[in-house]
Amino acid sequence: MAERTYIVGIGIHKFGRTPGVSGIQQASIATAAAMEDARIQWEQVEFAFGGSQDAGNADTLLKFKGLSGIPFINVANGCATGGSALISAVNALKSGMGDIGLVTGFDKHEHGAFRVRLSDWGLPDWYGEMGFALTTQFFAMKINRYMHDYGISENALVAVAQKAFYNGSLNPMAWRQQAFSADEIIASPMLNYPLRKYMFCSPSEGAISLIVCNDAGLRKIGSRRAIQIRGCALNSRREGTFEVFTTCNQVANTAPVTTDASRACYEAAGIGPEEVNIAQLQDTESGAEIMHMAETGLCEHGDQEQLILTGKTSLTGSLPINTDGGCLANGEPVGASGLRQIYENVLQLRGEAGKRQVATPKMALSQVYGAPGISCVSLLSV
Amino acid sequence: MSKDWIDDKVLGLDDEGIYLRASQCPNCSQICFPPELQCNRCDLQTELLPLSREGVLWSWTTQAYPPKAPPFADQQLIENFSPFLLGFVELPEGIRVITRLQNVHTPEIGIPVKLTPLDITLAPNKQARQAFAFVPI
Repeated sequence: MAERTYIVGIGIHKFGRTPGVSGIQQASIATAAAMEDARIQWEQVEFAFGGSQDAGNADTLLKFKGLSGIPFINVANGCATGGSALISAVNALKSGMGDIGLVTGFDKHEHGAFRVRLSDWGLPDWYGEMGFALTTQFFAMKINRYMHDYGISENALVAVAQKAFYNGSLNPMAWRQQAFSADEIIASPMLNYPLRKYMFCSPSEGAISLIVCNDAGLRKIGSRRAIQIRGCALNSRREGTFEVFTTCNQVANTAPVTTDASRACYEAAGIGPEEVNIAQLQDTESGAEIMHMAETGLCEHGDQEQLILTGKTSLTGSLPINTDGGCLANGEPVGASGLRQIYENVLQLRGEAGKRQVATPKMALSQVYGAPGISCVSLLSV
Repeated sequence: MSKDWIDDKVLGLDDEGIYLRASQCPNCSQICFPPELQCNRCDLQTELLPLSREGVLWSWTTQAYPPKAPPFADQQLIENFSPFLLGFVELPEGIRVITRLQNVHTPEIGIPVKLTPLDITLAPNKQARQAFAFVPI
Protein backbone atom coordinates (compact mmCIF):
# COMPACT_ATOMS: atom_id res chain seq x y z
CA MET A 1 0.00 0.00 0.00
CA ALA A 2 1.28 3.43 -0.91
CA GLU A 3 2.36 5.68 1.93
CA ARG A 4 -0.40 7.81 3.40
CA THR A 5 -0.09 11.59 3.55
CA TYR A 6 -1.85 14.11 5.74
CA ILE A 7 -2.56 17.78 6.34
CA VAL A 8 -1.82 18.57 9.99
CA GLY A 9 -1.76 22.35 9.99
CA ILE A 10 -3.54 25.12 8.09
CA GLY A 11 -3.06 28.87 8.08
CA ILE A 12 -4.63 31.76 6.20
CA HIS A 13 -4.09 35.44 5.63
CA LYS A 14 -7.43 37.11 4.99
CA PHE A 15 -8.37 37.40 1.32
CA GLY A 16 -9.25 40.72 -0.30
CA ARG A 17 -7.14 43.86 -0.27
CA THR A 18 -4.58 44.52 2.45
CA PRO A 19 -2.68 47.73 1.62
CA GLY A 20 0.82 47.90 3.04
CA VAL A 21 1.20 44.15 3.53
CA SER A 22 3.18 42.44 0.75
CA GLY A 23 2.22 39.06 -0.67
CA ILE A 24 5.22 37.41 0.95
CA GLN A 25 4.34 38.97 4.33
CA GLN A 26 0.85 37.53 3.95
CA ALA A 27 2.45 34.13 3.24
CA SER A 28 4.60 34.52 6.35
CA ILE A 29 1.52 35.24 8.49
CA ALA A 30 -0.31 32.24 7.00
CA THR A 31 2.75 30.03 7.59
CA ALA A 32 3.02 31.07 11.24
CA ALA A 33 -0.66 30.20 11.68
CA ALA A 34 -0.22 26.81 9.98
CA MET A 35 2.78 25.94 12.19
CA GLU A 36 0.88 26.96 15.30
CA ASP A 37 -2.09 24.90 14.15
CA ALA A 38 0.19 21.86 13.66
CA ARG A 39 2.03 22.65 16.91
CA ILE A 40 5.43 22.50 15.23
CA GLN A 41 8.48 24.76 15.10
CA TRP A 42 10.14 26.02 11.91
CA GLU A 43 13.10 23.68 12.58
CA GLN A 44 10.79 20.69 12.08
CA VAL A 45 9.91 21.68 8.50
CA GLU A 46 12.09 19.53 6.23
CA PHE A 47 11.13 20.89 2.80
CA ALA A 48 8.82 23.43 1.20
CA PHE A 49 6.97 24.02 -2.06
CA GLY A 50 5.24 27.29 -2.81
CA GLY A 51 4.50 30.00 -5.30
CA SER A 52 2.74 33.14 -6.42
CA GLN A 53 2.06 34.64 -9.82
CA ASP A 54 2.62 38.34 -9.12
CA ALA A 55 3.99 38.59 -5.57
CA GLY A 56 7.50 37.19 -5.77
CA ASN A 57 9.40 34.01 -4.96
CA ALA A 58 8.01 31.80 -2.22
CA ASP A 59 11.61 31.01 -1.18
CA THR A 60 11.81 34.57 0.22
CA LEU A 61 9.85 33.15 3.15
CA LEU A 62 13.15 31.74 4.42
CA LYS A 63 14.22 35.30 5.27
CA PHE A 64 11.18 35.61 7.52
CA LYS A 65 11.13 32.11 9.03
CA GLY A 66 14.81 31.27 9.24
CA LEU A 67 17.57 30.28 6.81
CA SER A 68 17.41 26.62 7.80
CA GLY A 69 18.96 25.23 4.62
CA ILE A 70 15.92 23.13 3.64
CA PRO A 71 15.06 22.46 0.00
CA PHE A 72 12.56 25.20 -0.90
CA ILE A 73 11.14 24.82 -4.39
CA ASN A 74 9.33 27.69 -6.08
CA VAL A 75 6.33 26.56 -8.10
CA ALA A 76 4.75 28.50 -10.96
CA ASN A 77 1.77 26.92 -12.69
CA GLY A 78 -0.81 29.66 -13.11
CA CYS A 79 -4.11 29.01 -11.35
CA ALA A 80 -2.88 25.52 -10.45
CA THR A 81 0.18 26.84 -8.60
CA GLY A 82 -1.22 25.87 -5.20
CA GLY A 83 -2.38 22.48 -6.38
CA SER A 84 0.96 21.86 -8.07
CA ALA A 85 2.77 22.73 -4.84
CA LEU A 86 0.55 20.30 -2.93
CA ILE A 87 1.09 17.47 -5.44
CA SER A 88 4.83 18.08 -5.34
CA ALA A 89 4.81 17.97 -1.53
CA VAL A 90 2.77 14.76 -1.48
CA ASN A 91 5.22 13.14 -3.88
CA ALA A 92 8.13 14.41 -1.80
CA LEU A 93 6.62 12.79 1.31
CA LYS A 94 6.05 9.53 -0.53
CA SER A 95 9.53 9.49 -2.01
CA GLY A 96 11.25 10.02 1.33
CA MET A 97 12.47 13.56 0.71
CA GLY A 98 11.20 14.34 4.19
CA ASP A 99 8.47 13.56 6.68
CA ILE A 100 7.13 17.07 7.35
CA GLY A 101 6.76 19.75 4.71
CA LEU A 102 5.33 23.20 4.06
CA VAL A 103 3.04 24.11 1.15
CA THR A 104 2.35 27.80 0.62
CA GLY A 105 0.53 29.90 -1.96
CA PHE A 106 0.00 33.65 -1.98
CA ASP A 107 -0.60 36.57 -4.31
CA LYS A 108 -1.22 40.26 -4.65
CA HIS A 109 -2.56 41.47 -8.01
CA GLU A 110 -3.15 44.91 -9.50
CA HIS A 111 -6.78 45.99 -9.79
CA GLY A 112 -8.93 44.93 -12.74
CA ALA A 113 -8.71 42.04 -15.16
CA PHE A 114 -5.38 40.25 -15.56
CA ARG A 115 -3.08 41.86 -18.11
CA VAL A 116 -1.92 39.25 -20.57
CA ARG A 117 1.53 38.96 -22.16
CA LEU A 118 0.57 37.30 -25.44
CA SER A 119 3.98 35.80 -26.14
CA ASP A 120 3.82 33.90 -22.82
CA TRP A 121 0.87 31.97 -24.22
CA GLY A 122 2.11 31.57 -27.80
CA LEU A 123 -0.55 33.94 -29.10
CA PRO A 124 -0.22 36.29 -32.12
CA ASP A 125 -0.38 40.07 -31.67
CA TRP A 126 -3.68 40.40 -33.57
CA TYR A 127 -5.37 38.27 -30.89
CA GLY A 128 -4.77 41.02 -28.37
CA GLU A 129 -5.16 43.92 -30.82
CA MET A 130 -8.66 42.77 -31.79
CA GLY A 131 -9.71 42.45 -28.14
CA PHE A 132 -9.64 38.70 -27.51
CA ALA A 133 -7.03 38.55 -24.72
CA LEU A 134 -9.56 38.35 -21.89
CA THR A 135 -10.20 35.19 -19.91
CA THR A 136 -13.74 36.36 -19.13
CA GLN A 137 -14.73 35.96 -22.80
CA PHE A 138 -13.71 32.32 -22.77
CA PHE A 139 -15.80 31.53 -19.69
CA ALA A 140 -18.76 33.37 -21.19
CA MET A 141 -18.58 31.52 -24.51
CA LYS A 142 -18.14 28.16 -22.78
CA ILE A 143 -21.19 28.61 -20.52
CA ASN A 144 -23.25 30.16 -23.34
CA ARG A 145 -22.72 27.03 -25.43
CA TYR A 146 -23.23 24.78 -22.37
CA MET A 147 -26.57 26.44 -21.51
CA HIS A 148 -27.64 25.91 -25.12
CA ASP A 149 -26.62 22.23 -25.10
CA TYR A 150 -27.99 21.27 -21.67
CA GLY A 151 -30.94 23.60 -21.12
CA ILE A 152 -29.46 25.59 -18.23
CA SER A 153 -31.14 28.97 -17.64
CA GLU A 154 -30.00 32.31 -16.26
CA ASN A 155 -31.73 31.37 -12.98
CA ALA A 156 -28.93 28.89 -12.27
CA LEU A 157 -26.24 31.54 -12.90
CA VAL A 158 -27.98 33.91 -10.50
CA ALA A 159 -28.49 31.23 -7.83
CA VAL A 160 -24.80 30.26 -7.86
CA ALA A 161 -23.74 33.88 -7.33
CA GLN A 162 -26.35 34.40 -4.62
CA LYS A 163 -25.13 31.28 -2.78
CA ALA A 164 -21.49 32.34 -3.05
CA PHE A 165 -22.04 35.77 -1.54
CA TYR A 166 -24.30 34.34 1.17
CA ASN A 167 -21.61 31.80 2.13
CA GLY A 168 -19.03 34.61 1.99
CA SER A 169 -21.13 36.62 4.44
CA LEU A 170 -20.54 33.81 6.98
CA ASN A 171 -16.79 33.70 6.36
CA PRO A 172 -14.69 36.21 8.33
CA MET A 173 -11.68 35.55 6.04
CA ALA A 174 -13.59 36.30 2.81
CA TRP A 175 -13.05 39.46 0.76
CA ARG A 176 -16.73 40.10 0.12
CA GLN A 177 -18.85 39.42 3.20
CA GLN A 178 -22.07 40.98 1.97
CA ALA A 179 -24.95 38.85 0.69
CA PHE A 180 -26.74 39.96 -2.49
CA SER A 181 -30.34 39.32 -3.48
CA ALA A 182 -31.19 37.67 -6.79
CA ASP A 183 -32.61 41.03 -7.97
CA GLU A 184 -29.34 42.81 -7.18
CA ILE A 185 -27.37 40.21 -9.14
CA ILE A 186 -29.71 40.42 -12.15
CA ALA A 187 -29.49 44.21 -12.04
CA SER A 188 -25.68 44.22 -12.16
CA PRO A 189 -24.25 45.15 -15.57
CA MET A 190 -23.73 42.50 -18.26
CA LEU A 191 -19.97 42.18 -18.83
CA ASN A 192 -19.72 39.18 -21.17
CA TYR A 193 -23.10 37.74 -22.14
CA PRO A 194 -24.59 35.77 -20.34
CA LEU A 195 -22.41 36.75 -17.37
CA ARG A 196 -23.03 39.83 -15.22
CA LYS A 197 -20.71 41.73 -12.92
CA TYR A 198 -21.78 39.94 -9.73
CA MET A 199 -21.29 36.58 -11.42
CA PHE A 200 -17.52 37.14 -11.84
CA CYS A 201 -14.65 36.99 -9.38
CA SER A 202 -11.83 39.56 -9.42
CA PRO A 203 -8.09 39.26 -8.88
CA SER A 204 -7.35 39.91 -5.19
CA GLU A 205 -4.83 39.16 -2.43
CA GLY A 206 -4.38 36.49 0.18
CA ALA A 207 -2.24 33.59 1.37
CA ILE A 208 -2.65 30.01 2.52
CA SER A 209 -0.09 27.69 4.10
CA LEU A 210 -0.39 24.00 4.91
CA ILE A 211 1.78 21.69 6.98
CA VAL A 212 1.79 18.21 5.43
CA CYS A 213 3.35 14.97 6.61
CA ASN A 214 3.52 11.20 6.13
CA ASP A 215 3.00 8.51 8.79
CA ALA A 216 6.51 8.99 10.16
CA GLY A 217 5.88 12.74 10.36
CA LEU A 218 2.56 12.15 12.07
CA ARG A 219 4.33 10.10 14.76
CA LYS A 220 6.85 12.93 15.27
CA ILE A 221 4.13 15.55 15.58
CA GLY A 222 1.62 13.42 17.46
CA SER A 223 -1.37 15.10 15.83
CA ARG A 224 -4.75 13.50 16.48
CA ARG A 225 -6.68 15.66 14.04
CA ALA A 226 -4.86 14.91 10.80
CA ILE A 227 -6.83 15.09 7.57
CA GLN A 228 -5.83 12.48 5.04
CA ILE A 229 -4.91 13.42 1.46
CA ARG A 230 -6.66 10.65 -0.45
CA GLY A 231 -5.74 11.76 -3.93
CA CYS A 232 -4.29 14.68 -5.83
CA ALA A 233 -4.08 14.87 -9.64
CA LEU A 234 -3.17 17.50 -12.19
CA ASN A 235 -3.81 17.20 -15.91
CA SER A 236 -3.25 19.39 -18.94
CA ARG A 237 -5.74 19.67 -21.80
CA ARG A 238 -5.91 17.20 -24.65
CA GLU A 239 -6.51 17.92 -28.33
CA GLY A 240 -10.06 18.97 -29.15
CA THR A 241 -11.23 20.62 -25.93
CA PHE A 242 -12.37 24.25 -25.70
CA GLU A 243 -9.84 26.21 -23.65
CA VAL A 244 -8.93 29.71 -22.62
CA PHE A 245 -6.38 31.66 -24.72
CA THR A 246 -6.81 29.89 -28.05
CA THR A 247 -7.27 31.07 -31.62
CA CYS A 248 -8.83 27.80 -32.72
CA ASN A 249 -9.77 24.34 -31.55
CA GLN A 250 -10.40 21.04 -33.27
CA VAL A 251 -13.97 19.73 -33.42
CA ALA A 252 -13.80 16.55 -31.32
CA ASN A 253 -15.50 14.78 -28.44
CA THR A 254 -12.56 14.90 -26.07
CA ALA A 255 -13.30 14.86 -22.33
CA PRO A 256 -12.60 18.21 -20.64
CA VAL A 257 -9.35 18.43 -18.69
CA THR A 258 -11.23 18.62 -15.38
CA THR A 259 -12.85 15.27 -16.16
CA ASP A 260 -9.42 13.76 -16.84
CA ALA A 261 -8.01 15.09 -13.56
CA SER A 262 -11.11 14.01 -11.60
CA ARG A 263 -10.96 10.46 -12.91
CA ALA A 264 -7.27 10.22 -12.02
CA CYS A 265 -7.97 11.53 -8.53
CA TYR A 266 -10.92 9.19 -7.87
CA GLU A 267 -8.77 6.30 -9.04
CA ALA A 268 -5.91 7.29 -6.72
CA ALA A 269 -8.35 7.56 -3.82
CA GLY A 270 -10.12 4.33 -4.70
CA ILE A 271 -13.55 5.98 -4.43
CA GLY A 272 -16.29 7.25 -6.73
CA PRO A 273 -17.94 10.67 -6.94
CA GLU A 274 -21.00 9.38 -5.04
CA GLU A 275 -18.88 9.30 -1.86
CA VAL A 276 -18.10 13.02 -2.02
CA ASN A 277 -20.24 15.09 0.34
CA ILE A 278 -18.67 18.54 0.08
CA ALA A 279 -16.89 20.22 -2.86
CA GLN A 280 -14.95 23.38 -3.58
CA LEU A 281 -15.05 24.00 -7.35
CA GLN A 282 -13.34 26.63 -9.49
CA ASP A 283 -15.93 29.40 -9.83
CA THR A 284 -14.09 32.05 -11.78
CA GLU A 285 -17.67 32.95 -12.62
CA SER A 286 -21.07 31.39 -11.93
CA GLY A 287 -21.03 29.28 -15.07
CA ALA A 288 -17.74 27.58 -14.20
CA GLU A 289 -19.18 26.15 -10.99
CA ILE A 290 -22.13 24.73 -12.93
CA MET A 291 -19.98 23.10 -15.61
CA HIS A 292 -17.40 21.82 -13.12
CA MET A 293 -20.14 20.05 -11.10
CA ALA A 294 -20.66 17.71 -14.02
CA GLU A 295 -17.05 17.67 -15.24
CA THR A 296 -15.96 16.34 -11.82
CA GLY A 297 -18.64 13.64 -12.00
CA LEU A 298 -20.64 15.02 -9.06
CA CYS A 299 -23.77 15.08 -11.25
CA GLU A 300 -24.89 14.43 -14.82
CA HIS A 301 -24.61 17.17 -17.44
CA GLY A 302 -27.87 19.11 -17.39
CA ASP A 303 -28.91 18.14 -13.85
CA GLN A 304 -27.20 21.15 -12.26
CA GLU A 305 -30.04 23.65 -12.44
CA GLN A 306 -32.43 21.45 -10.49
CA LEU A 307 -29.77 20.61 -7.89
CA ILE A 308 -28.90 24.29 -7.43
CA LEU A 309 -32.45 25.68 -7.40
CA THR A 310 -33.62 23.07 -4.88
CA GLY A 311 -30.78 23.97 -2.51
CA LYS A 312 -28.81 20.72 -2.79
CA THR A 313 -25.56 22.69 -3.19
CA SER A 314 -26.27 25.13 -0.34
CA LEU A 315 -24.75 24.78 3.14
CA THR A 316 -27.71 22.68 4.33
CA GLY A 317 -28.03 20.61 1.14
CA SER A 318 -26.81 17.09 0.41
CA LEU A 319 -23.79 18.31 -1.60
CA PRO A 320 -22.66 21.75 -0.37
CA ILE A 321 -20.44 23.52 -2.93
CA ASN A 322 -18.08 26.46 -2.37
CA THR A 323 -18.93 26.70 1.28
CA ASP A 324 -16.49 29.57 1.94
CA GLY A 325 -17.94 31.71 -0.85
CA GLY A 326 -15.57 30.40 -3.52
CA CYS A 327 -13.67 32.69 -5.85
CA LEU A 328 -16.75 34.90 -6.19
CA ALA A 329 -16.60 36.00 -2.53
CA ASN A 330 -12.85 35.56 -1.99
CA GLY A 331 -11.49 36.89 -5.25
CA GLU A 332 -8.68 35.10 -7.00
CA PRO A 333 -5.15 35.56 -5.73
CA VAL A 334 -3.82 33.09 -8.29
CA GLY A 335 -1.10 31.48 -6.16
CA ALA A 336 -3.36 31.06 -3.11
CA SER A 337 -6.71 30.26 -4.68
CA GLY A 338 -6.38 26.48 -5.06
CA LEU A 339 -5.02 26.13 -1.53
CA ARG A 340 -7.95 28.17 -0.17
CA GLN A 341 -10.19 25.31 -1.32
CA ILE A 342 -8.00 22.83 0.58
CA TYR A 343 -8.04 25.08 3.67
CA GLU A 344 -11.84 25.22 3.58
CA ASN A 345 -12.18 21.46 3.13
CA VAL A 346 -9.86 20.82 6.10
CA LEU A 347 -11.87 23.23 8.26
CA GLN A 348 -15.14 21.54 7.24
CA LEU A 349 -13.80 18.00 7.77
CA ARG A 350 -12.56 19.00 11.23
CA GLY A 351 -15.93 20.59 12.04
CA GLU A 352 -14.30 23.97 12.64
CA ALA A 353 -16.03 26.05 9.95
CA GLY A 354 -18.16 28.05 12.39
CA LYS A 355 -21.36 29.59 11.02
CA ARG A 356 -20.89 27.90 7.64
CA GLN A 357 -20.15 24.41 9.00
CA VAL A 358 -21.98 21.71 7.03
CA ALA A 359 -23.26 18.50 8.62
CA THR A 360 -20.47 15.94 9.24
CA PRO A 361 -18.73 15.76 5.86
CA LYS A 362 -16.46 12.73 5.38
CA MET A 363 -15.05 13.10 1.85
CA ALA A 364 -14.17 16.51 0.39
CA LEU A 365 -13.28 17.33 -3.21
CA SER A 366 -11.55 20.41 -4.57
CA GLN A 367 -10.97 21.41 -8.18
CA VAL A 368 -9.08 24.24 -9.86
CA TYR A 369 -9.16 25.16 -13.55
CA GLY A 370 -6.75 27.62 -15.07
CA ALA A 371 -5.15 28.96 -18.21
CA PRO A 372 -4.26 27.63 -20.68
CA GLY A 373 -6.26 24.50 -19.87
CA ILE A 374 -4.98 22.78 -16.74
CA SER A 375 -7.00 21.25 -13.94
CA CYS A 376 -6.05 20.07 -10.47
CA VAL A 377 -8.35 17.90 -8.34
CA SER A 378 -7.82 16.63 -4.82
CA LEU A 379 -9.74 14.49 -2.35
CA LEU A 380 -9.42 14.79 1.43
CA SER A 381 -11.04 12.64 4.11
CA VAL A 382 -11.20 12.52 7.90
CA MET B 1 -7.59 46.48 -51.17
CA SER B 2 -4.96 49.07 -50.45
CA LYS B 3 -4.87 48.44 -46.73
CA ASP B 4 -2.38 46.12 -45.07
CA TRP B 5 -3.54 42.96 -43.35
CA ILE B 6 -3.53 42.97 -39.54
CA ASP B 7 -1.23 39.94 -39.93
CA ASP B 8 0.03 38.53 -43.25
CA LYS B 9 -0.10 35.00 -41.91
CA VAL B 10 -3.81 35.13 -41.14
CA LEU B 11 -5.49 36.57 -44.22
CA GLY B 12 -5.33 35.90 -47.95
CA LEU B 13 -7.16 37.24 -51.00
CA ASP B 14 -8.54 35.51 -54.09
CA ASP B 15 -11.24 36.25 -56.69
CA GLU B 16 -14.02 35.82 -54.14
CA GLY B 17 -12.49 38.09 -51.51
CA ILE B 18 -10.58 37.54 -48.31
CA TYR B 19 -10.11 34.15 -46.73
CA LEU B 20 -8.57 32.84 -43.50
CA ARG B 21 -5.28 30.99 -43.85
CA ALA B 22 -4.70 27.77 -41.94
CA SER B 23 -2.11 25.04 -42.19
CA GLN B 24 -2.62 21.31 -42.54
CA CYS B 25 -0.18 18.50 -41.86
CA PRO B 26 0.24 16.16 -44.88
CA ASN B 27 0.60 13.23 -42.49
CA CYS B 28 -1.87 13.59 -39.58
CA SER B 29 -4.17 16.18 -41.27
CA GLN B 30 -4.22 18.42 -38.19
CA ILE B 31 -5.37 21.94 -39.05
CA CYS B 32 -3.95 25.01 -37.31
CA PHE B 33 -5.23 28.57 -37.40
CA PRO B 34 -3.23 30.73 -37.76
CA PRO B 35 -0.96 28.50 -39.85
CA GLU B 36 2.10 26.80 -38.35
CA LEU B 37 5.11 26.02 -40.52
CA GLN B 38 5.77 22.68 -38.83
CA CYS B 39 3.24 20.17 -37.53
CA ASN B 40 3.62 20.05 -33.76
CA ARG B 41 2.91 16.32 -33.75
CA CYS B 42 4.71 14.99 -36.81
CA ASP B 43 7.50 17.54 -37.15
CA LEU B 44 6.76 17.73 -40.89
CA GLN B 45 6.41 20.85 -43.02
CA THR B 46 2.72 21.78 -43.30
CA GLU B 47 0.69 22.81 -46.34
CA LEU B 48 -1.30 26.03 -46.60
CA LEU B 49 -5.06 25.51 -46.31
CA PRO B 50 -7.48 28.32 -47.20
CA LEU B 51 -10.44 27.93 -44.82
CA SER B 52 -14.07 27.97 -45.95
CA ARG B 53 -15.73 31.38 -45.82
CA GLU B 54 -18.97 30.03 -44.40
CA GLY B 55 -19.67 28.18 -41.18
CA VAL B 56 -22.01 28.08 -38.20
CA LEU B 57 -21.79 30.05 -34.98
CA TRP B 58 -20.60 27.65 -32.23
CA SER B 59 -20.78 30.17 -29.37
CA TRP B 60 -20.56 33.89 -28.78
CA THR B 61 -20.38 36.60 -26.15
CA THR B 62 -20.30 40.35 -25.78
CA GLN B 63 -17.31 42.40 -24.68
CA ALA B 64 -19.13 45.08 -22.73
CA TYR B 65 -16.18 46.63 -20.86
CA PRO B 66 -13.04 48.11 -22.46
CA PRO B 67 -10.16 45.61 -22.66
CA LYS B 68 -6.81 46.76 -21.27
CA ALA B 69 -4.80 48.59 -23.94
CA PRO B 70 -2.27 47.34 -24.82
CA PRO B 71 -2.65 44.63 -25.95
CA PHE B 72 -6.05 45.93 -27.14
CA ALA B 73 -5.30 48.27 -30.05
CA ASP B 74 -8.60 49.15 -31.74
CA GLN B 75 -8.12 52.94 -31.81
CA GLN B 76 -11.77 53.73 -32.42
CA LEU B 77 -12.96 51.63 -29.48
CA ILE B 78 -10.18 52.86 -27.19
CA GLU B 79 -11.24 56.47 -27.84
CA ASN B 80 -14.96 55.85 -27.72
CA PHE B 81 -15.83 52.44 -26.34
CA SER B 82 -18.97 50.59 -27.26
CA PRO B 83 -19.58 46.88 -26.64
CA PHE B 84 -18.61 44.49 -29.42
CA LEU B 85 -19.42 40.85 -30.14
CA LEU B 86 -17.11 37.91 -30.67
CA GLY B 87 -17.51 34.19 -31.05
CA PHE B 88 -16.16 30.89 -32.28
CA VAL B 89 -17.27 29.80 -35.74
CA GLU B 90 -17.28 26.13 -36.68
CA LEU B 91 -16.03 25.58 -40.22
CA PRO B 92 -16.53 22.55 -42.50
CA GLU B 93 -12.82 21.71 -42.15
CA GLY B 94 -13.52 20.51 -38.58
CA ILE B 95 -12.06 23.50 -36.80
CA ARG B 96 -13.49 26.36 -34.73
CA VAL B 97 -11.90 29.80 -35.05
CA ILE B 98 -12.17 32.93 -32.92
CA THR B 99 -13.64 36.00 -34.61
CA ARG B 100 -15.36 39.32 -34.18
CA LEU B 101 -19.08 39.27 -35.09
CA GLN B 102 -20.73 42.12 -37.00
CA ASN B 103 -24.24 43.10 -38.14
CA VAL B 104 -25.97 41.26 -35.29
CA HIS B 105 -27.13 42.21 -31.81
CA THR B 106 -28.16 38.97 -30.09
CA PRO B 107 -27.05 36.07 -32.28
CA GLU B 108 -28.40 32.56 -31.90
CA ILE B 109 -26.02 29.65 -31.53
CA GLY B 110 -26.03 27.58 -34.72
CA ILE B 111 -26.87 30.35 -37.21
CA PRO B 112 -25.00 30.30 -40.55
CA VAL B 113 -22.35 33.00 -40.81
CA LYS B 114 -19.86 34.17 -43.43
CA LEU B 115 -16.48 35.87 -43.43
CA THR B 116 -16.22 39.60 -44.08
CA PRO B 117 -13.39 42.15 -43.94
CA LEU B 118 -13.16 44.39 -40.86
CA ASP B 119 -11.34 47.72 -41.00
CA ILE B 120 -9.39 48.50 -37.87
CA THR B 121 -7.09 51.40 -36.95
CA LEU B 122 -4.30 50.22 -34.72
CA ALA B 123 -3.24 52.25 -31.69
CA PRO B 124 -0.96 53.92 -30.86
CA ASN B 125 0.30 54.83 -34.38
CA LYS B 126 -3.09 54.93 -36.10
CA GLN B 127 -2.16 52.43 -38.81
CA ALA B 128 -5.06 51.39 -41.03
CA ARG B 129 -5.29 47.59 -41.16
CA GLN B 130 -7.69 45.01 -42.45
CA ALA B 131 -8.84 42.31 -40.05
CA PHE B 132 -11.79 39.94 -40.23
CA ALA B 133 -15.22 39.31 -38.81
CA PHE B 134 -18.15 36.99 -39.47
CA VAL B 135 -21.70 38.18 -40.20
CA PRO B 136 -25.01 36.30 -40.35
CA ILE B 137 -25.88 35.03 -43.85
